[in-house]
Amino acid sequence: MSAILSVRDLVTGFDTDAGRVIAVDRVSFDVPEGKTLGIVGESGCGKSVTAFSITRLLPQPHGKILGGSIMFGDRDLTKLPHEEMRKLRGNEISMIFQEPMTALNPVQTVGKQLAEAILLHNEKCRKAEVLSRSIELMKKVRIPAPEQRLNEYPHQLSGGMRQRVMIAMALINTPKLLIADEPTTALDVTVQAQILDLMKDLQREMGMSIVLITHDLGVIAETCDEVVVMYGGRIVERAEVKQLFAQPRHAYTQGLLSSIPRLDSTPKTRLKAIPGNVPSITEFRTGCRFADRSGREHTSEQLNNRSPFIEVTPGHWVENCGACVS
Amino acid sequence: MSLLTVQNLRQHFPVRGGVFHRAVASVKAVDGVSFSLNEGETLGLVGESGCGKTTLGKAVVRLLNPSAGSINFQGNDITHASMSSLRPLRRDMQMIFQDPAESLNPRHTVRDILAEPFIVQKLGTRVEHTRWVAELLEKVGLPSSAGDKFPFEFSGGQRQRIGIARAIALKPKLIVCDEPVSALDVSVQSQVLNLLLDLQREMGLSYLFIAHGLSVVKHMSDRVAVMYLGKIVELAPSEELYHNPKHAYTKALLDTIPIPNPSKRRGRQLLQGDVPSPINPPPGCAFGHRMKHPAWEKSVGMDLSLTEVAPGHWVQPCPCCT
Repeated sequence: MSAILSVRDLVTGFDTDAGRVIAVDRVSFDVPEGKTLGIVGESGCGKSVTAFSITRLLPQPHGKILGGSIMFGDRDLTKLPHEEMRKLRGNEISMIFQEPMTALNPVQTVGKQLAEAILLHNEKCRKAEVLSRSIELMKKVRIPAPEQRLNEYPHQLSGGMRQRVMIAMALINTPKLLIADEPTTALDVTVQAQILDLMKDLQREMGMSIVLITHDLGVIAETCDEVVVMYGGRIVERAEVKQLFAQPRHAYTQGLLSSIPRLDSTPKTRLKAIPGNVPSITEFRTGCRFADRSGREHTSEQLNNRSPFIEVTPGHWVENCGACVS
Repeated sequence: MSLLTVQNLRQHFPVRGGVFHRAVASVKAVDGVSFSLNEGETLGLVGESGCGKTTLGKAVVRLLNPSAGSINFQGNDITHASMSSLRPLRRDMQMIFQDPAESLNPRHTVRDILAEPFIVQKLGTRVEHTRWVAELLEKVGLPSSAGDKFPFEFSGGQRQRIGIARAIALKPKLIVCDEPVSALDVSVQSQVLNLLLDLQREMGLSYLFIAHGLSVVKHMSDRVAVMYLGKIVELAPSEELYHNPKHAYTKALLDTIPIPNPSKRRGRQLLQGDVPSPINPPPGCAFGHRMKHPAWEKSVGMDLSLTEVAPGHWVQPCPCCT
């Protein structure tokens, strides 16, 4: 299986008044062609920063890629000049975000915003062509009565419709890779299901690869082919989706999976909670970052040195902390 | 004995417009809801955003003035009780909010926040307050040093523990939990849910548990009510509701839950369309109307109050959805 995107030892940091903090600490993964890779983790685990590193949209001037490579075909995105990166974004790599209301301009019609995006990548497009292209895109994301919707403002659309418009914009140039950062978190479950289904259908039609960032293990199980589990700025586990849910190896993945309430669990019984809180970026230690919450005895070696990221079975990788992996 | 009985409750909000700012229409946020809650029981309330579940929760503890219907709490009719006559009853009914960052005063220390219920209710002396606050902190699993800190010094999960401590301070009978874990990280959610379960067992609390996460609601509740556009469409014991849903909306909701098990992916029956506006709800069964069900017209003008189809299992009897 060939990879469309290969991230190797990516390090991303932010310069703050209190010094430099490392948000993403040597992560490596591949996005398989035509498939969906899920990145799952809790707040502050570095999943969004990873996405922003790929698209080079890190907040400036504080955010910096400090090491590693992101190979997209034969180009290393960490080294690409800004001008070329701009051409690539929205063209070969597109991105959609969590809250479509803040990503759309509230004082312009949906049609105008779509047209702007079309013209940006294709300056010679004629007016009639832009219109027909817009309608075609709106149909593609299954927005009913597209001609009418084009003349409406974002506030007139429901949350699900707005996210469809965002997806339509992202698809203008048939990207090879779509990065979706919590695309359904702000939506109701019923609408979430519609949007996830739409993304799956579009993937089948257009053959694009998707990186789906979420904190919801249910969404991961339903939509992804491969999963990366992040904790404290690092990848603790990476595997094919069925393998990960059937045989999680890292204590964090195991804890996460057994702590969520399930439909088939007995009501009103205590859940197996993970104790403690998600560590903040200033508390990250060099060794195993899950040690304090794992309830397992760690040696000082495991606490002070980072364990290697190894392949335990074909395609199943784990940060091999002796205490957390058994 | 039932602690809380709500009958045919309506909560409408005026929509104002025109030159004289008159009420030109009304948002029917809660539109004829009846249920009861027993002592020590948890009633879950689920539905999409805008279905009126939060409004119902607020109306029940009288943070709002209901438009019609009745609320009976511990044998007292509190539907139109005045603020002063409600004050003694407030000891017995409390609320936990979704976002602990916004529901805790950022300028007060945790000790001030937790002592305030006692001050408002004129209970105890300052020395006693200090002791009670320390007990509360211990009960919700926070260190005693937490009392001197401000809310911003805590993580989301810890802040929610402070919110819970405040709610149980006066040893209430009923707590309305409005999305208590939605703003929390996944690994922290289960800690807070466990705390709520423990407190219920210890103190014999009743919960009205509002959430949009169906698996969370099922886990926490004895019975679950499903709301759609201001009305309860189905109410049943939680196992029964999840294994034997009768109303089409409940079935659709259950179908859309992402199951954390990749071998159980299913071909979903997707819900089409959006929730209609509560300003101008369609006549008859609102869900049948959304689904353009052929039998929807028959539901117009019908009496759609819940009927019992099995012991404790109540459904809106519309011809289109059941």
